[in-house]
Amino acid sequence: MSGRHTELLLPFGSDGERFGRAEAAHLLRRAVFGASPERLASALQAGLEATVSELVAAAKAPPDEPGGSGIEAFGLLPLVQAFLVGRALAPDGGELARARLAERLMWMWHGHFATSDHKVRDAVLMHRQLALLRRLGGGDFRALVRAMLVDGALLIWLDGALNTAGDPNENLARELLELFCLGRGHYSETDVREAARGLSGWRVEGRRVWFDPARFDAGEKRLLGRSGPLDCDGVADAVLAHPAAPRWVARRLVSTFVCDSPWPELEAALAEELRRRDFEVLPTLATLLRSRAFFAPAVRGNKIASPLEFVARARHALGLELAPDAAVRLCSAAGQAPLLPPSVKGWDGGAAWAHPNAWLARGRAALELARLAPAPAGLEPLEAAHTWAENLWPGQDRPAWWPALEQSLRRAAPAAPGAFIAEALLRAPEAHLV
Amino acid sequence: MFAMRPRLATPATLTRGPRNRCLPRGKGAGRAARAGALGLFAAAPCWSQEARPAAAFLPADSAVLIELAAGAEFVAALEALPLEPPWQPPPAGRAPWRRDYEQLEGFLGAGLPAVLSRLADRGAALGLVPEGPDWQACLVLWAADEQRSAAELARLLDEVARRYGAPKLFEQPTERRGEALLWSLGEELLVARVGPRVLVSGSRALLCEGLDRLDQPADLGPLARPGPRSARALPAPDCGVWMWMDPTRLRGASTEIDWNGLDGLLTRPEGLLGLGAGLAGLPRAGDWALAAEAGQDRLRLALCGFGLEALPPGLLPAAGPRPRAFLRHGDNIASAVLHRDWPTATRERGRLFEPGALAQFSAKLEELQIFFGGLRLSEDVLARLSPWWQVALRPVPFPAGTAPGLPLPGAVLFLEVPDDPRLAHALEAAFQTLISLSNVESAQQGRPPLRLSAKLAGQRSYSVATPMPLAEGEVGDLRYNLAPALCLTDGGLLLASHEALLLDALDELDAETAPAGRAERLELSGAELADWAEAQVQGLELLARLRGRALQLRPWIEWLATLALEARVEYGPDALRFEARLERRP
Repeated sequence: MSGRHTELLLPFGSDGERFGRAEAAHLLRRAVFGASPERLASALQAGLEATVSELVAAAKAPPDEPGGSGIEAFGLLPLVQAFLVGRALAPDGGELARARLAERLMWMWHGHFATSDHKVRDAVLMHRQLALLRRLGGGDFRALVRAMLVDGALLIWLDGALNTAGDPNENLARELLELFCLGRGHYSETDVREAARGLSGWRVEGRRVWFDPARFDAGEKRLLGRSGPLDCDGVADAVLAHPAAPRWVARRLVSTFVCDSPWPELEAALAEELRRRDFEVLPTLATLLRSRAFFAPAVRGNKIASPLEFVARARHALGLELAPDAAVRLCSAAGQAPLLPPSVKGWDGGAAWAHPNAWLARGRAALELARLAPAPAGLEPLEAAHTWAENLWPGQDRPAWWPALEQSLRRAAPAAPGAFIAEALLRAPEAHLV
Repeated sequence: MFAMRPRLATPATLTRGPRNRCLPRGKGAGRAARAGALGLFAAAPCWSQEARPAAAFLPADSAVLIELAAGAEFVAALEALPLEPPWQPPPAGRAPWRRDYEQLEGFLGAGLPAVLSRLADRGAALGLVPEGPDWQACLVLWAADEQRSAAELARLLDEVARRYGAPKLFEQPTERRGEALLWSLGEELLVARVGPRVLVSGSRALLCEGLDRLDQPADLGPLARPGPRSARALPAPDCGVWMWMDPTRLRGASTEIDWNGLDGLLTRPEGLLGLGAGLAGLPRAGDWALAAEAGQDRLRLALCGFGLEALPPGLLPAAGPRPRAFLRHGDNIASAVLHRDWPTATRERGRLFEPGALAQFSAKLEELQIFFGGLRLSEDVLARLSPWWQVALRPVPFPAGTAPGLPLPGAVLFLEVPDDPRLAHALEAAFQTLISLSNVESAQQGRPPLRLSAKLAGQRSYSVATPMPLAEGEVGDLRYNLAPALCLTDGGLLLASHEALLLDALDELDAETAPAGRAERLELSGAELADWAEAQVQGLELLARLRGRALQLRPWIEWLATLALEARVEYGPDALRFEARLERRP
């Protein structure tokens, strides 16, 4: 690795940089969907190193929600969606909130192994896939891929359950190579066919996933330089042994946590770190979250928030009492319907979040969220505006339009100052950047 | 039913007796007599001239009258009733009415029962008169002890004066009018005291009308009108409160209410067949009356509509066969006997329904026709069903292997049908077609189908649709609550949401069943509902949480476990009585 690459992952602060309010807020926005003022204060007091360690430690064993196992008894997609979003909205201070990094990772993998209930048509199978992503998403990426290749929802979504020795179906194998592990340009059509042969034999009946040896192609395969009677695990190992695999995973981590546009040097450095960490995601992510690159001024507040990031941040920063099912509705209207990604590529993210229709929906969401804003108890409207702006953009200068808001509040006190101020803040472009 | 008032006259004496000069003959008097003759409602009262009730001094033109016969006792009983749900967290989460009530008591400087016992121990009444878009109110309080009443009024006036920041402001009356002492509280309120009576109003004209009536012993004010008279006949002795409303006047004054929508209930199938002819026709009644009685651990409400001439007579259960008393199982969470006259509604739909609704109704019947190939749905099927629908909601004993993770209560429906093999065949075929069509839809959505089969229970055969057996360790989702079954036997149709319930009901059918009454009936057992909720508390709390309602269900379940609700609807030729009884059973 070149010296320049290594520098990108050097710990933030090693050159005297200060971990202040703005930096702590940046970390919590990107890693855990934002934070309450109290959570921010405690992160600031603990410092970068301890805060990241705490986030990572909690994400290693995300707790079960009380009564959460009951969600399968409903078997209804809207409830599974609400259950999923509800964990991202878990209020700071509780056990669920401490493990919000696991939720952030789960959402990243939900977009990576994008599976839609449009085809699966079984909310329970979808719920199980998400539970798997939550459980394994911070660990060894190879274990995650192996588990996903025999996941019921993914097998239905990518026709893996139809893939037999006599009638191969290459969908799952193609996406394994193109979308999950390597990216285009690192494999041939022969590799796709050979991988499909190795992935054959798995069936889904109801919700039961099982291996049917009679449908498995047990013959010799040659895949990306490996050969043998490769089965599902063998295919995963062969694919992940390819040098492009760490880079592909690193790209996903960088695009999720750092910036929408490619940053080849950082991706290369992070790929090297992932290899060094033996594909362990959380330790690699910890290095990234502590790095200079993560706190680079050019990337801070410069990433378009996904609808969930926008809604969750408003909820945490302003203390909104937002029902999970209402949050699902807002996110779905703005283009991020949980469990219903638009294609096998998942959500495009970046500029796609600012599509005109999605932007209009965000405006309506801002209005709806603002109605939930509590009355600014004991504060004049102007003071309340400053307090809430500081909660949303801690340690940052006020935006250019701030004097206009101040003037408006001085001219006439609004009838419902809480909702008025919150709407002004949440409609601002800055509220849609993380 | 509420008992009769002991000092009430009979319907006959109402129109003949010398003491009833106050009750003029006419259309209203005839209506009251008819109501009495029905036996649904007690007869109208009469009063000695000296003891005219408080409501007699209210504006004669009132559109709404409310009278507390024994105000202090009623309010105290209501306060003591442990019927308020366990709002959480207290006190912010308490019922809004409770907060308003506490504010009122704070304003009065004493508890409401105490104030009422001093000012209105012989009764209190409130009349509302619409004046354009606004309402004018007049309140009459009648005490047994004049001196005590005067002292309490002086105390209250002093409370108000101190709030104005001018103690003793109202120590002396502002003016006198005959024997009456009057106080003007700003421009908003006038208070008058005459002997043991206190009158309060924002309108001088209304207040003076009441005061003038004191000198005219024969004048019963609004109580001379037939509607209020019938309403006042409704309650039991010591009944807490009665209320009368004139819907015609309310229509003019309350623009917030969708009166057209309420009227339309009777001319739309969902209103007529959903609520039943009586309740759907209630908005069109000439008079509305309400009585409430609060006793130890119980609250009874009776709502009556008089003058229901608009109701299509064929749709009321006045004649015709009575239902068999059935589905009265002790484990019922809820049960209902409903009169829904599909035969008449389908036969006379052209006369009953408004054009838009008629077209939709006819289109729906056409759609349903598909299930009854060869038979005409209206004439050959619906016209032959009994109008009495008996429904029960019960816990389901789910068999192992197909038990849902969240067991919901199941429902059983019993409907009498003629013993006609052709009709039975058609109904069974319709059930099987419905299941088959739902299986096609399931197949299109990649969901497991229901397996349709015919089984025997003793000598009886029935159709049942069962879900796929669950794999070991799997949890059945909500769909596993449904294993619908149908049986046509013994002159009846039994349809259950689950086979296990159908088999239970068949056992009950073997027991002797006597004919039931002609009242519609709804019963809800809080204890049974609480048992079910207790078993599902985790799932229900999760559901509430995902919908943003952070409920702690256990206090609600404990509260629910002690409650029982019984509601009845009884019909007369032109009157309807809806009575609800809510009881707390320790």
